[in-house]
Amino acid sequence: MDRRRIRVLLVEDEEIHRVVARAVLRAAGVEVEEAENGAEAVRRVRERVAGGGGAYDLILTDKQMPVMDGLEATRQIRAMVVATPIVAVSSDSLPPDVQAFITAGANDFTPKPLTKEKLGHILAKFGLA
Amino acid sequence: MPDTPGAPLLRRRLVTDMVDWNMVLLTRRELSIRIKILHVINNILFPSIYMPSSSLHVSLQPSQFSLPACTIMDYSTLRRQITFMKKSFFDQGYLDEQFNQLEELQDESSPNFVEEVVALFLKDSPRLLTNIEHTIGKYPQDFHRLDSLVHQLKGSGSSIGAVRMKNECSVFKAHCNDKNLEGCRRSLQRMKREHATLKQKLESYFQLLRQVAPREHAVNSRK
Repeated sequence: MDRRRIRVLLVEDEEIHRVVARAVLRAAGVEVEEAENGAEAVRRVRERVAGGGGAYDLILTDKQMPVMDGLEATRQIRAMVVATPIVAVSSDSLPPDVQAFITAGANDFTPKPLTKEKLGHILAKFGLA
Repeated sequence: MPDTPGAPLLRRRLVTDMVDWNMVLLTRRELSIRIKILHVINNILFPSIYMPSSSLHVSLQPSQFSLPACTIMDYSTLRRQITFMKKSFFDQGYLDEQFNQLEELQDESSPNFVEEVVALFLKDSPRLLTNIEHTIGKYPQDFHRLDSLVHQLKGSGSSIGAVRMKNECSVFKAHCNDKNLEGCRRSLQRMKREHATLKQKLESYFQLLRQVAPREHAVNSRK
């Protein structure tokens, strides 16, 4: 039986971070979809919920983004009763920043940039490896 | 004419790497003479390799010339320079492990990945530095905006492993927190110097890499 590929939603506004994260995710054999801000991420998650196409296996989100930031996007996704693991990937990695994400409903936090090793830990932690 | 460094190794490599197998039949003396001639040709054809300045540019594409032995000697020297240059970046603390991570992500499907990411950094960073400078000059002071700008610069730098830039950004952020404008100003000057040095080093590095790339494709296509 073919295992389907893991589907990850990458939420990141800056191109350089998207390019690096996309390469790390693809190297891990994962299918990547991208959203450039929190609002687009919420929209995509909502579409999947409504369309019955199957939820994302993992959501990786930045914090500071235009239109809607990562904290608000996390809150809104959780409000939809979506249980997909959400991991914040942000350069703001002080305890208050991490706590803010956990309070908003994220499952975990990792500082930027995303690396093969960090992604390995994340996938293992959520049973996606 | 002094023997080139690494010439004994080069002679062994010439026998094994050379496409023109007739060269295998030469005596050691004949090989030695040819190596000396090729070194002279190298100096004439590719003088830019021996210029350390940042105005380095190559107007000649080595693949235009059908001198396989010359290409291989040049390749070996270039490869050594590239390795040495990269090692110096790490030893002198300009780059960290993240740069290696980028190289590991480079493969046949994305053969210029590292250069592309560095290009994004070099595109973003001057704009951010200019905005930071402009914002410092504004009155009333906008430390929130300064923090936001330097946050972006720090993130961008850490994507390529630019550790000195990243550290200076942390210093700048601390000054923002303390609302210390003079501290921010001084930090910005250091950031600009760091950036200029890093930019020059990275550009030289990729120029060297581009010189070996056509040859690596040629060697691979003959396999």
